[in-house]
Amino acid sequence: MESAWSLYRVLDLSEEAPICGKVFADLGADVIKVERPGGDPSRWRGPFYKDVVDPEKSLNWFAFNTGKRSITLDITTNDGKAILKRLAKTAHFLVESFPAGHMDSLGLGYSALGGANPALIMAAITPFGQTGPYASYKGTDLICMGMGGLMYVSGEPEQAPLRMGVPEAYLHAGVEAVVGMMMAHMHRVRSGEGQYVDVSAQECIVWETFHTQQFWDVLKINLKRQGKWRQFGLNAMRWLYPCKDGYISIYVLGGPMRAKAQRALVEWMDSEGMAEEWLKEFDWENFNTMLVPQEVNDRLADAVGRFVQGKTKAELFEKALKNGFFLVPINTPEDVFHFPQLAARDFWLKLEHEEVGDVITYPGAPYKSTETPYRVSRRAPLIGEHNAEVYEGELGLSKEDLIALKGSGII
Amino acid sequence: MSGLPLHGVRVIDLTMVWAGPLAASMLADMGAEVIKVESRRRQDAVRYLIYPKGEPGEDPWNRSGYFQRFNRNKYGITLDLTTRRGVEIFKQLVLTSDVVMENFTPRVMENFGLDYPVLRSIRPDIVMISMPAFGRSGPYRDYLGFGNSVEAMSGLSSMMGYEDGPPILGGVTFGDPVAGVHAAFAILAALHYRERTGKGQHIEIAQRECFTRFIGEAIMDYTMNGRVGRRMGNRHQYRAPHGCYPCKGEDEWVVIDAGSDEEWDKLCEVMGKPALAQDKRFFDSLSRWKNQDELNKIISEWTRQHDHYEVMRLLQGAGVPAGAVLTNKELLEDEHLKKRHFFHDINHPGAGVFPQVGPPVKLSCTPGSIRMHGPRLGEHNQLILSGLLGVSGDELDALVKEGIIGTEPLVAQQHFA
Repeated sequence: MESAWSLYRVLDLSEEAPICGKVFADLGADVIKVERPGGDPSRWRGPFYKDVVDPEKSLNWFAFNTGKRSITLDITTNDGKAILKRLAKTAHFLVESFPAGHMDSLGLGYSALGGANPALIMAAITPFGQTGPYASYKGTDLICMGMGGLMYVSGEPEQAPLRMGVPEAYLHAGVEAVVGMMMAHMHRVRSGEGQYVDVSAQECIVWETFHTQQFWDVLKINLKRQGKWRQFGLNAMRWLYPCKDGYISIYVLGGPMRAKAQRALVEWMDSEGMAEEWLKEFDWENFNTMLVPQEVNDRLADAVGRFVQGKTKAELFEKALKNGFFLVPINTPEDVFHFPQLAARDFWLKLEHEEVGDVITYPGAPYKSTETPYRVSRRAPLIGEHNAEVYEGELGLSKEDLIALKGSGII
Repeated sequence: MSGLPLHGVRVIDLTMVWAGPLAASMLADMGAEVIKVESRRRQDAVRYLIYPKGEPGEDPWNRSGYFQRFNRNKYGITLDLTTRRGVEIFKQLVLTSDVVMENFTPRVMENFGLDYPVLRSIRPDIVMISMPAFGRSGPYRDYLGFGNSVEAMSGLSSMMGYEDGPPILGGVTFGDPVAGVHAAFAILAALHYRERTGKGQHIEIAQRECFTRFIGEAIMDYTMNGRVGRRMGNRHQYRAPHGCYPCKGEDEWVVIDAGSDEEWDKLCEVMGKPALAQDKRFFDSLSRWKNQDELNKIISEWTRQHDHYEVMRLLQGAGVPAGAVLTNKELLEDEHLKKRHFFHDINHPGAGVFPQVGPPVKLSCTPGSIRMHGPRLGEHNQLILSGLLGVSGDELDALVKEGIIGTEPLVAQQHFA
């Protein structure tokens, strides 16, 4: 099948948000990862294959750099700058994640690269964007999550705000950048004009989580983290419970759409002598989590909590699937790997890694489609794996040039 | 909006709640004409979440703040797709549209007689996107899922939590926006493909798959190393200090991530404890990581004396990554976000003013715009049905009489989900 993106070249200088380039690569674009000599610092991000700490064995690198080619280049040197400029003339997109203003200070900002190639779309992913009072601030995943409003509402009320279990801020910024770059591309297709895309990781987090803001705007509740509970209107509903072999999450909701499923849950509880009279007579049709006194939610949470305690994740989920109540297991990565739905849908991807002599199992594509397939073409590149191919084969540098540039540490 | 990248693209948005509506609103911000289709039988569930002052009022379905957030810049119509006439009108709409979006369980569109083969027979180059929680195939295809299910099932929740404590679900169900943003670029990629080849397509996002891939390296730590990631609170795998520290005000916090020797030295200097940088317990990064409990205690003693913005400014001024942990209220008042014009107030007739954010990325030539409040139920029935599809005034009256269109629910849901 033809790829709509195979005509396009993306230069990926982003050390923080490799997922952006990965999406373009998986859609078929020619994505060239421009690494600093010695390799992109993100190659040192764990975990590592078989726990061997090695820049060629980072699972983080593997996961988010599939399908790319890699060249090395020191863009702080004059030769490096000249080469990047030549490359940028052949490119349709460029994405970078250096501190705000860094590319400009090297003479490689949008005015320079876009001046030479007006159709170029250049995206910059930074913690706080290119302008404003925090533009020069440093921001790692933890900082962006804290300043994006996500941490304050996550965790237990009596303990510190909590980060996500896996670093995510730049993943969000990276996929938001993809959308921005594709929007810019739609504009370019019509007008021929490239543009600059300013991506702030903080804003991406705020933008994605802004509905929690409603509690403040509309109700003047400055929403706080609630641990096992979740705010619904003026009330809270418990949504996390321990069970026999782990944890589950359930939404105990009423209304005409949900009543049948909730009654099935109560009948199950009753069949094991665990539904008290009030619960058996509970009016699910007219129960509204948000509008009842909070005590009603508390009583329901107690009853449900007592019941699920004695059941396994698998038993509970099986009944939920059958009866349609909103209960799911909190899957560990092990559970995820063995989850039958994913195998049935052929989700897992196996890629040959000849350099370690192994086949590595990856989570598969984020979506399926009847055309323009989202497809991982090859494993992530080794450091500078495509230097000769790109510099000699495509940019026309001679072998001697390449040796000289390597000798002076530029490549 | 001529001049915007998606001017002239028409999108039918049947999606509900969060992920789908968010994706559609991204397209709308960039100029697409998005028509949200609900019905008098079934409205978007977030129409029944969070009313001004907590009061549902006479028309709760028009007063929800949540609904405003995800449905700005869209037109809204009602259409009963369980009736023959409703389906006919929908098909007419498909004929004039580029994209159809839905996030029902797979059987719903089939039951309406509006699955992809049908839509394609009406308009061969249509781009359709389906966003079921579990996918259109496999044993769990018909199970309905919400954001919490996506996060829980993906593996993320099991790794989030305080050290040695139980798992915790994030305060924001992150599965939704992740699926939403993926949907947005999948649609753009498909539109681009259509421009090149003339071909439409059907895209399917199983939301839980989308999110599992998002935490790829943690999943691969199991597939390759057999390790199940443990909960680490705010700690980092190998950096310290890396945490969330209490400040002077009530429930006021700051995050600090000073991983390098240089950042650690600066942190000691700013805390007024330069000798600490030479302390054996914290001399190199491995010692700091091993002794992080002690380290965190010392840092907390200092942060407690200041407010969170002050700690942030002092440390960032010295080149140390630090950030005030912002509440919803503080986000709205934050000088940086204000200076970047991130917030926009939008007036909703009947329900008041709601702040809006974004777009999430800034495009220099085509920045997008926030133009319209989220539609009242059936607000644009006449505009779309008569204006666009040429339905006569008499027939419009008949449709109202038969209940196929309208501006009020048949039975007010009053319930989320």
